[in-house]
Amino acid sequence: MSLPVEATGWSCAACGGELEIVKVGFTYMKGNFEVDLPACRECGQVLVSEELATGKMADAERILEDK
Amino acid sequence: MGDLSLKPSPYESVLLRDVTGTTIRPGGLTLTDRALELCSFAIGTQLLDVGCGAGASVEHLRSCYGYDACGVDISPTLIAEGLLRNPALQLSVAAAEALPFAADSFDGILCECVLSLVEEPLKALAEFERMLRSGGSLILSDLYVKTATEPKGNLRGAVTRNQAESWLTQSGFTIVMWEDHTALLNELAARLILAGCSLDGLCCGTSGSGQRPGYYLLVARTA
Amino acid sequence: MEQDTLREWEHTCVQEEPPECTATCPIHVDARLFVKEMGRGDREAAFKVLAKTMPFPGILARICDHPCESRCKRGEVDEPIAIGTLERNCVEQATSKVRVQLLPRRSQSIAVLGSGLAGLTAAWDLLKKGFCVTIYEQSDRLGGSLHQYSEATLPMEIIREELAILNTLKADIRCSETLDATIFAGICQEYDAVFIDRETIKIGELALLQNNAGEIDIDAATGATNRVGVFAGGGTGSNGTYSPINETLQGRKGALSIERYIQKAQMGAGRESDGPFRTRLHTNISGIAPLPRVVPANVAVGFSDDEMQGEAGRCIQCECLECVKVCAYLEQYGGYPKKYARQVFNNEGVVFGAAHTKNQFVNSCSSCGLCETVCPTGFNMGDLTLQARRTMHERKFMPLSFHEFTLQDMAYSSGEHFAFSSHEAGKEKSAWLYFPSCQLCATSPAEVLSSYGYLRERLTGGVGIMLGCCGAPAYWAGHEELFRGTLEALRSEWEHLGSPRVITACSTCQNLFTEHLPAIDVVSLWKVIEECGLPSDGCTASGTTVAITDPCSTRHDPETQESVRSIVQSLGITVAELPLHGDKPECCGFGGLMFNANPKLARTVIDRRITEGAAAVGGHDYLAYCAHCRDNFAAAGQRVSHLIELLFPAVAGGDPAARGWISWTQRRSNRARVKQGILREFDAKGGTAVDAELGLTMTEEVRRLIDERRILEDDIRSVIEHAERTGQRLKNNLNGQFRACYKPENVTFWVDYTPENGCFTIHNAYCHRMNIVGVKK
Repeated sequence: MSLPVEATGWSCAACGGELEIVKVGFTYMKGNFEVDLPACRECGQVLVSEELATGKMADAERILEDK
Repeated sequence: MGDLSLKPSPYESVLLRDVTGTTIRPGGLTLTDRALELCSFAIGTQLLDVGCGAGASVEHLRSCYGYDACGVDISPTLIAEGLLRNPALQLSVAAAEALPFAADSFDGILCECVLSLVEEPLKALAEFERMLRSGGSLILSDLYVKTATEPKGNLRGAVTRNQAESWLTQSGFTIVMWEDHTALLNELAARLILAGCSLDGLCCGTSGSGQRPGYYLLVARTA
Repeated sequence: MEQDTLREWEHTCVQEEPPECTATCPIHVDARLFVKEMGRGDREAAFKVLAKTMPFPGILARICDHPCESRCKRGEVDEPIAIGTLERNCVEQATSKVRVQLLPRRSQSIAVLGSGLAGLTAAWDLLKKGFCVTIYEQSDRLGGSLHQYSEATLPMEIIREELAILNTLKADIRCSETLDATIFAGICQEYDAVFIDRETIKIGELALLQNNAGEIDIDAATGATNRVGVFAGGGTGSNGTYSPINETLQGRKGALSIERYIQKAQMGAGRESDGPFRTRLHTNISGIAPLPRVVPANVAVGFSDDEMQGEAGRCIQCECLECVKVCAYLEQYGGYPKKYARQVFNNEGVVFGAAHTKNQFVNSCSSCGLCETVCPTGFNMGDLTLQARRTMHERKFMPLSFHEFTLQDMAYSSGEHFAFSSHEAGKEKSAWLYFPSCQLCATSPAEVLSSYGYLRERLTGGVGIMLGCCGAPAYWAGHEELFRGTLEALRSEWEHLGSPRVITACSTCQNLFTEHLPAIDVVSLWKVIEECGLPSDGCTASGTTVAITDPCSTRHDPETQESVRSIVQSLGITVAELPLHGDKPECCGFGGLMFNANPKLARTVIDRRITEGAAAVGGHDYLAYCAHCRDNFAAAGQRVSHLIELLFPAVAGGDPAARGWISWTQRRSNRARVKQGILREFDAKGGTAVDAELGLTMTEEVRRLIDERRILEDDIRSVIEHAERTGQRLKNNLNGQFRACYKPENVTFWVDYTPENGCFTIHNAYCHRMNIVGVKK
């Protein structure tokens, strides 16, 4: 899977490695989730874009909080 | 709803099922396992999965528990896919209201997240009762409406808990256990949103008036 | 919430109570809906409304003596709606007919003696309930006094057509029947119950019913006679006039009594609304322009369609909704308090883990109390929602995100950077204790310090100082335990300082202390200034006009409102009164923590207030005396100052109304500044060096954005410190920016930054609550 647009230019500053799409685990309110995100496999550093955080994640959080 | 077989159902979407695993249903197989735990069927027990989709549960029942399980679904596409994946599975196309088996054929029936999609739920329950041997178990999980004042509208066949329970009693069942698992419904919805799927047409969406349904797991016995 | 508490709440809201017309109508026809349908030009729908309640609508609607008009609310403005005329117009022209459904027959049979309107109604009702009914009529035709009307008013054909329904309902009709004592006795034996229509039957002659004194007793409420199973009703009206609608009521009452008698149910239960009553519904008629009744141009012909709709259009469509009219929150959710109470009850009743779709609703009320002020029965949504929040909190289904940020802010106020209490420097006693409030310190630190100086100068006996939070956020979050704990800590400190008189600069603190710590003698800073006189150092803005925004917390405190006005006037400033002053202020969005739980709604409320204010008083500056009122109006672009800024100007000749918004980050550092300022009075402890902070630079736009996202600069610092220390961060090869994340508590913060000249330039920051577990192998 190719990197999404918002990952353009980003790389891991700790090891200098390139980012790949990997499965990242999340938890919230007793639920477990998995999202495919750009990350550095070596260091475990994940890239969460502003768009994801304020968009789909915020929507998912609202549903789980029953707002 | 009569044209279910013509219009591709969102449940048939491969993308969707990639996201959620092989089943699109709150709790996936974990709720199934919970109910099975309560029923403690012996190995080789004959079970029927109504609304089996592409057969994920049927496979699970056979391989993990050794039950003699088969499944039916209204979607030819999903049944075909299931058979392609595993030709040994006994899957066939049928509606819940007209099950292609003789009476007293099963000791257990699973009907998970399906009843609210069925055209004539009372007829389906009558069929289940007919299919089950005496003392047989029905594992039912589905949406339910929290506040009775809301019109059923876009929640399709979802009804209140009271209504569902009285349907079961009417059909000759005794309810043994009822649990709320709405958190799992929300989890499914959140998962789908994270994957960029729309909730339109799915069980975990909202009705037109913004009301979100609850989700329950129930076990009932026949006399 | 318990069931009976729910019932109390529901009872308090009168929105669902019937309008005067319906309540006054003896049989409670929904006249309001009827008139509405007529107003829409839909006679068929209007007919259906009548047919729902009226027996023989074709007859009754033509001759009804319409007591409803006597209580029509429109009558208090100009003239009552001509309901009677409209009813006539409806049944004369509508083509719909009464639809009759035959229920399976019950086994019991009832005799109805006499066929005046009372007897006919009793027969109608009993037949519709499924009983077998035999009507005995002495004359050769049914109807009694119905035949007194002219052919024009009530045509024979109509009477015949309507009464034919009795045949459809399978009544056994016997005309020209003699009725003497013997026959009567026989009837009483043969039938399960009897109803006597007193209009057509001379009941006095029926000896069987007489008591020892030779009189006939008839129970007014139920129509029961001395003889079991025999009921009676109808007859002349109280002043000898024939009232069709009252005859109808009598027949209806008799039928109900008979049904209860046969079912052996309680005869009198739940019959308080039999017959006319006064409604509890309140309808506001102020502002309705008087209009005369529409009268038909051609009296003989009656209303034309336009005239009919015109008259029906005068109907106010009575309802209450007083609270909804003044509250954006209540309006937004499309209901009214009685409905909301039930929804809150249902929301709570769901077991742990299940969907609570009303969570945001419960957390969006500002608790301002305006609804209670305008409600005829004093329904307080703030109390309802606060109760619900407490329950949600106790049962642990209150999602953190509603209140966490504000509770963290409160923790800061109660923490080492701000909390402080002491006697005045150099004194060992305090006759007074100044509690400036955490929020005022957060927005006007310099002015607070000056005001403290003023108090020490003007008051004797020593003026101590206490910095802290009164616990309002915990109170509003429904976190009872935390609230009580906070108050107790304050109270104990107060006691330790010698139980001085407390001066508050914030009305919210004042209210909470007054209600929950009644032992403390509290007075408002403004009252003290009013009594001690203006501060000597130049107060500004003389010769101008301001519009005072009273905080919602002064709703029941006209004294403080007066003190403020008196001060403002002594400053030479003219006061322009806003529409929401006195006991009518709305909240600015801070109350009830609305701004955090529902920021969109808070913004709507402020914008609405600014628009209404501008319409009422033109473009004057606002003057607030609540820290958040000032901050919220300022953030929405309104020129506003806080009274303390006028009294103790930090900068001579400045323009406090132009100050604009402040961020949550600034609110924290301002509070710390106040404490530092106080500590400096005590020499040695003062001016403790603050740990060197990472310098942050950002544009105003970024500063605003992160504040909206409730991200503090300290949160950003913790991300950067973590990233710089561990090296865990991403780098953008195109623009050289770094991106890192850190989760100090429950929220994960992300920051895009660039190190520059020993500082850090912040390009963006955002956050989420979903917790990153890790990369799956």
